[in-house]
Amino acid sequence: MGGKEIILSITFIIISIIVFALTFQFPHQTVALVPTAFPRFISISLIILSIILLIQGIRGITKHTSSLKEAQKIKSNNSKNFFIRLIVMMFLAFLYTRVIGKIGYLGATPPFIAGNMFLFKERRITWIVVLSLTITFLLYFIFRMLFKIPIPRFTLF
Amino acid sequence: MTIIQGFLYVLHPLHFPFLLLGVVGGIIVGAIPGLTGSVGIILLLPFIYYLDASTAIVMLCGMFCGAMYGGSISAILISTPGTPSAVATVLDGYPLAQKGEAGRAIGVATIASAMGGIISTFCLMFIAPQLARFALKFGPEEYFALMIFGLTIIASVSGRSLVKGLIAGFFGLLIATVGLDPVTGYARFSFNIPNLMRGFSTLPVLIGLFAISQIFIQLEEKILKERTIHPDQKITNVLPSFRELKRLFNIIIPASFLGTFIGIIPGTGGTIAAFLAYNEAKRWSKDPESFGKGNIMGVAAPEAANNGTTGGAMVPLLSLGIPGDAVTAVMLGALLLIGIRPGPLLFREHPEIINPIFAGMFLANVLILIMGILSIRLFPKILKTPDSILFPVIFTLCFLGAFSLNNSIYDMLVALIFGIIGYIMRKNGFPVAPVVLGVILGPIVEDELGRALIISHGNWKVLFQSSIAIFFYIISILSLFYSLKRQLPVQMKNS
Repeated sequence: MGGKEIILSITFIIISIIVFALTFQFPHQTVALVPTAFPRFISISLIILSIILLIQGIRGITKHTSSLKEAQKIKSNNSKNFFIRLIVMMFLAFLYTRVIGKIGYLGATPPFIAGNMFLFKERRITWIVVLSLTITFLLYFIFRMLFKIPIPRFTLF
Repeated sequence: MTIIQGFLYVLHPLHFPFLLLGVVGGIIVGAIPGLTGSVGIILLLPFIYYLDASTAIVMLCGMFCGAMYGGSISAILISTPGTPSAVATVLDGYPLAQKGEAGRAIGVATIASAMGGIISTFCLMFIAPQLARFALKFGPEEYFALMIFGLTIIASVSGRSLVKGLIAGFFGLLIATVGLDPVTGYARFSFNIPNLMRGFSTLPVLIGLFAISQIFIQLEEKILKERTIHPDQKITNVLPSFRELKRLFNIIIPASFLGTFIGIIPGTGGTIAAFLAYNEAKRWSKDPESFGKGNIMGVAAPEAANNGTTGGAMVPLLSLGIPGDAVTAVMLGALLLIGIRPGPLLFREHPEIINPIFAGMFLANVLILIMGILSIRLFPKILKTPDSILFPVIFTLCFLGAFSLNNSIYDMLVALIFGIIGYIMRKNGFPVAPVVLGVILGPIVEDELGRALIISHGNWKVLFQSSIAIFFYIISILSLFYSLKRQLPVQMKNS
């Protein structure tokens, strides 16, 4: 409470100001509802709401400063462990979206599933390998063969 | 198409398996804590996209009803509600399980849920067409006012902070402005990037905000708080005696109607209905002290009410095109994706899907009763599915779902980005349901406003000349004040 509200409210204020400024690049049009109208209304509303949140955040910080300092002293190894896993998971997912278009679903998915199983604390390597391959082919069968839903293909060559 | 034809359609061997799949999938998704009806519906989208509209909606309704019931299973067995609407069921359901009466509790929850859903379906069948007939008089200015009312629901689904909920809602509106302006066709915020010119598709945004962000949250649950599953429960004495059933109906029937009418009010939903029903059951009980210690009425009332909201929430969704709660907001997105725009014109332009929807909702609840009673002994096994298998599979399904809409790798990236945004928002107390409402309703609001202004040659007064529009503005303001009044005591207590 407090510090996070300040950071997020400032973030939203900055985004809203950028959006408002970008609307000046839209061409001028004489129509009943110009393209700038809605984005400007939204960005102004967001600025006002973010300022309210900023005030709430500042009030939260001044009231709870002492208890906040106490809470910050408590650092758990688990939190650090989780944060690293979270970043790795996000990176893995990003990598998956980048390579799946090149090496296809069948090439990219087993390592993706295996990596996520490992992040979710699965440690039996045989289980990871067998399940990641089984799930990949099962989903391939369901999507491609049963429902004829397109999935990413190999496009490297 | 009459209602009989609707039933024949749903019971056809080509369509019935999809309803069954929806219901079973919904029960499983609802039973597993961390997955909700919204996530289930989102994961179903890639599959229903390739079905015909009636079958697709019937499958969605099955998932919706099944998930609402499924939440009671984990609520009773492991004191963790599978869905938010099952929170009230924990109060007496878990104590019953601790006494060795888990089977009785789940049996009663099954019967109550099925009855709640069936009664609310009958109400849906009678109320929705009448409301739609009235709404056919709406022009663009009335639709604009109605959508404004729909957006004020943002305040109702804001959770603990109205300001954060409104920021989330406006953020959703902002996301919806990326791409072609609905009135002039100008490409806003596209930076000459072709992918951005078509804006963000609703499906990847939904997948990211609800499903992928939930996976990140589940990783946190796994690492920081190991979820413990209760040891094997003995599931016995599932069916209540006739005498007990008669006694239970005295609470199930009123609770079902309560749930239905709560569900009709946009911005409420299963959780509020369940708690209201629980409180009323306790108030009218001859033994109120036993509530919270394993009173079977404390399971029957909330379960009848929360499944009663399913038919009720479909009333404003189908007849007016505004969602009743977060799950129906996702349903709205799903319906728009398959080319069905809910609203009064739905009854005129697509009459062939209305009766299958009614029949589908009715049969979904009958299936809940049958499947629930028959497979009750399997439920503890569902809850033992390891997270290390479940969530990687869901993660993969999310990406495949995002890809399948437009055969686009870009949509997979959009889903991931919104997953990260959704996770950051949820960790900081920003609800994601208002973002979804903003994304879905924003373009409709702007479109209707543009139309109203074009017809009136730019005269803004046209928005305030219709008595129906003024009525919606008034209830929008009242809805906001009510939400503010409800949240002020909580905020004052926090400060």
